[in-house]
Amino acid sequence: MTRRSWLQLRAALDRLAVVGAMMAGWQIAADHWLGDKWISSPLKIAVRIWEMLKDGELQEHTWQTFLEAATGLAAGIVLGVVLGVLLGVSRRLSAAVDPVMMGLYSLPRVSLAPMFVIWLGIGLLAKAALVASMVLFVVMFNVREGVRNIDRDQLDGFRSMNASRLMILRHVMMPSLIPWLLAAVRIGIGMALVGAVVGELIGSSRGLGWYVSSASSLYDMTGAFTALVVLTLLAMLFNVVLSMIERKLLFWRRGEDHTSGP
Amino acid sequence: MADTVPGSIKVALDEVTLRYNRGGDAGSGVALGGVSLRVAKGEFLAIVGPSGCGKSTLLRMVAGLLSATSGVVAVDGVPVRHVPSGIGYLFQSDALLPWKTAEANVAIGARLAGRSEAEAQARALTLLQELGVRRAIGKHPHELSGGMRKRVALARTIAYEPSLYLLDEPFSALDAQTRIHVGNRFLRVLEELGQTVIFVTHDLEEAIALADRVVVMTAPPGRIAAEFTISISRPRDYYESRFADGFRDLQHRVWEVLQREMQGELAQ
Repeated sequence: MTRRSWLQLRAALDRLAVVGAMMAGWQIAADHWLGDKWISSPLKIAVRIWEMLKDGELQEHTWQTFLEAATGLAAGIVLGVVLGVLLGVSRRLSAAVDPVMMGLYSLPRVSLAPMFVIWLGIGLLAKAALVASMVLFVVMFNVREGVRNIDRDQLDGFRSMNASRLMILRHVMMPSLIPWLLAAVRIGIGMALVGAVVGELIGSSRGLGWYVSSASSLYDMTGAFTALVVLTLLAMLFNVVLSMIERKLLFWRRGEDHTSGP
Repeated sequence: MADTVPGSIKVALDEVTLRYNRGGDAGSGVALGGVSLRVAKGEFLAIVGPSGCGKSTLLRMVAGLLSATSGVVAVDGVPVRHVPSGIGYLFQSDALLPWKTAEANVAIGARLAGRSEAEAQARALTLLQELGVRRAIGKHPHELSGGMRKRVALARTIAYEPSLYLLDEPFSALDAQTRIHVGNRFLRVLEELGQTVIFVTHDLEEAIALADRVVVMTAPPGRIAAEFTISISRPRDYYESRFADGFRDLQHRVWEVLQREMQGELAQ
């Protein structure tokens, strides 16, 4: 076994050990200390997951939340990239809108949730809009910074060879922005799940967020924790996919941390 | 001099000035204070000067990346408004795209010169071999040494088939041995191509060793303090030409001017 593959195996085992220790600690606390009435227990949750999988309930709620988060994330990314490039290219525009943008950014977007429900109903659209409004700013500010940090010599190199704007955009600007964009998406994933769940708490009849609130109102702790565990798994899945994209796209950033962006 | 035959002038600068006006505390000032200069076709001109004298700014103006506050910059007798065609610009950093392989980087130059994709790729491979960096093929810039990256950058510039090379301190990031090796490659290739070269450096020995003529600029705001014609015979060697007759004498005379300008800079 090469040293590299041994290190990879060891890292995987370390991670498993962390999860195992947490589960064991939780189970012990539930059995002998706090009682599973308050914190449920990993075994009960495992049984519940199995039951919910069998009757298809889990898939339905998970799919709903995934759809809200993913749609909103995608919309927020697209809008954020467009606005970020505009603000990055025009210093004047950026300076003009900066105070308003910072104000909106600092405003807890969660407080917009009731408005989105009034405007867009209690379906997918309202949640996706809430998610997009949260993701948008992080992507926008990061992309703006990315545009400002494009290597001037790389740009001038292309300009001095009379390259078209389209060519500069394709070969220099877009690839330079990818690390900044991926860093923003990593933060955006967490926000997207917050947005989807909060949206469901405010008005919904489906989704993992709705399941948490309806289960806890019935003192069904196992139900509430089951939804939270699935939410955590969903977040991990999003992050794993992102890491794979990063490894594929950012191979050229030698010696830099591929997981944390610029 | 060649001034009398208009057709033989590649680059002409007439009373070129540049004022900069940055917002806030940086204030405004004069980067270039009236530079007039003629560069003949096929001439190898070196520009030396204290830091901040506007040497690089001058190159950016010739390339049309920056416009003068007043005065005229002309390439091939045509005043520069946009980027003129046939400019080969080499930067202090190699400015290679890190997400493309060496040959893909070089092929971009050929594509921008109007070559087909297939031609461009073939040309890239040939150039990399000719410049002695066959090992760079299939690798990305981060896998290459500084000296190799420089040669890949030169290959990209040559692939663009320029008639005017603008070199902005291309060797400044290299260690002494690599600099001699890479400098020699550059010199040999540029002598063979026989195109006009404007070479900016802070290293006056390098300037004398490579150029037909050395222009010394003043402390900022930059103007031309003196110029020296170098008559060492070609082909030259990046390192060996330092032992040619008259080199020490020239070095001494250029240094006297440069030293005076640097003192001015220090006194400010």
